[in-house]
Amino acid sequence: MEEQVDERVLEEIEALEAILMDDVSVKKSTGGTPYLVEADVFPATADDTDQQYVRVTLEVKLNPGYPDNPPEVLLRNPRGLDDERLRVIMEQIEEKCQSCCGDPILYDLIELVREHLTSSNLPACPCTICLYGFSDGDHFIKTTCYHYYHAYCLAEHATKTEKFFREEQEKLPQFQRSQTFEVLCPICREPIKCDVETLSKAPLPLAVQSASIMEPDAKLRELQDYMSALYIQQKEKGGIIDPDAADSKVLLVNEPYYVVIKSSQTVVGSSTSNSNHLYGGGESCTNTEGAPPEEETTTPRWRQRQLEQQERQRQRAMQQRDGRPVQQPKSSKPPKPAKANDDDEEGEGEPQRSIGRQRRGRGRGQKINHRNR
Amino acid sequence: MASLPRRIIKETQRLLQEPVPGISAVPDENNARYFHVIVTGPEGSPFEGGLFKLELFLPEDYPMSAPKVRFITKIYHPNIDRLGRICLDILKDKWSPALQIRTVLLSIQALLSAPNPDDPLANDVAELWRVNEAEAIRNAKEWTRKYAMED
Repeated sequence: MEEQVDERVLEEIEALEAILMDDVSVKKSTGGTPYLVEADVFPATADDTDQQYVRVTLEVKLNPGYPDNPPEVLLRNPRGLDDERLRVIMEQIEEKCQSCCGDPILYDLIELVREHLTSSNLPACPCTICLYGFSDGDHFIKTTCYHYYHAYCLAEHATKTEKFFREEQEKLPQFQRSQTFEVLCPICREPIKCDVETLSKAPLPLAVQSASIMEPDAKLRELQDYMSALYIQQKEKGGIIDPDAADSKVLLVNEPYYVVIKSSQTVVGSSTSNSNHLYGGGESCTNTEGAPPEEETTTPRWRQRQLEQQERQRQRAMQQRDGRPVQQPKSSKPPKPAKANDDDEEGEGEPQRSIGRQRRGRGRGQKINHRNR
Repeated sequence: MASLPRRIIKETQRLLQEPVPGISAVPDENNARYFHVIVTGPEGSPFEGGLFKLELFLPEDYPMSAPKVRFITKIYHPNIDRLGRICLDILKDKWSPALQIRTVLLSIQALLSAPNPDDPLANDVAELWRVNEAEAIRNAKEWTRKYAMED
């Protein structure tokens, strides 16, 4: 097919490249016809890139017949812009395209987008670490990959990952260790440069400080009841995994204050290996139905200690119950074979509506009110 | 004693108000860091029609470290072992604080659609999945029907 290169288009592209330089890229067919223009658009900040908090890539597909036919426009890679803003920009682009048939409009489109970015040059997306937005007065940073975090939040992330990195290095023999630690962007995992010391001096984000506490409502209760019912149903069909049938089902215990789980058991978990036992999913696990895990046949020492601790907690908790009419919990069950039936459910029977005000037993081995079903 | 982090409250509210299709996560009445979860088996997978219960726990330094998640309902899957432990990188070294409860659960649901017997956690299941996929899928369907379907 013979390609007819429209002079108007060539002129327009030439002007665009001269003005925008590196911020625009033009794809041309073998015959030299431009068919795709991509422009990185930033707010107008007199070239002070540190002050540019938002950006977007404008992609314009020049259909055959452009500029007499409107081009196809797409906004890609938006940063710091919320959906509503993008929708408005897109709407105006469509309008412009329809109204300017016959005139080259690439530069106008880019200017239109730039005006929007300039007027909303504050990240509209929430910080993905704390999930709260950026308020005036917040300390926040923009990474080189155009992602935004409260300084406070990013400092926490950097500190934690560095600690994790050092711990992992410790486990390696000397020759395998690497000394270079890089903070990675939580969103795109690109290495980012940040001065953790400065960041960590930032105050807690304002929106986080003023956020409200959650109160459980009827819908939540209904969902909790449904969860319980389904659990019981599956339990009856033998469909529930019984990870540690030899004793109480301590499922989650790596919190120093964590209190749960079976209605008859209270565990104030120490940081035992039990959590790794259940959640160490990363390492290969060769257990099969025929080969029960170790603790079903023998009780390891850490487990015995834990059981003893549980018993102490339980007794203490009962003493502390200050006359509340709560049923006496069953005493610790003796070890049972793996298939032993246990009709308790996982602390999800009796509603104790206290989301947001819970954990009253934290750190002191006090019992959270567990009632038998 | 620190109160429950605002982020956890925010995530909880959103999970309840705008639930992810096929996923339900409800905080325990006694511990707001402990979630009861139901993931429905994805359409077109051997787990279709099943309601799988999981438990999810947010550790003290969440979201700086990953939630701990485990299947409670029995499931026949090469990347989930008989204790319900899940082999998923984002739950381990690939955790990022930009992930959330909902994204983690979505990843787990995606794992149900795409079993990966070459990175096994349940070796016997993975082995069968490799040598006789048809039979493995039959088993998975059978377990789903037997253990995870509502009456």
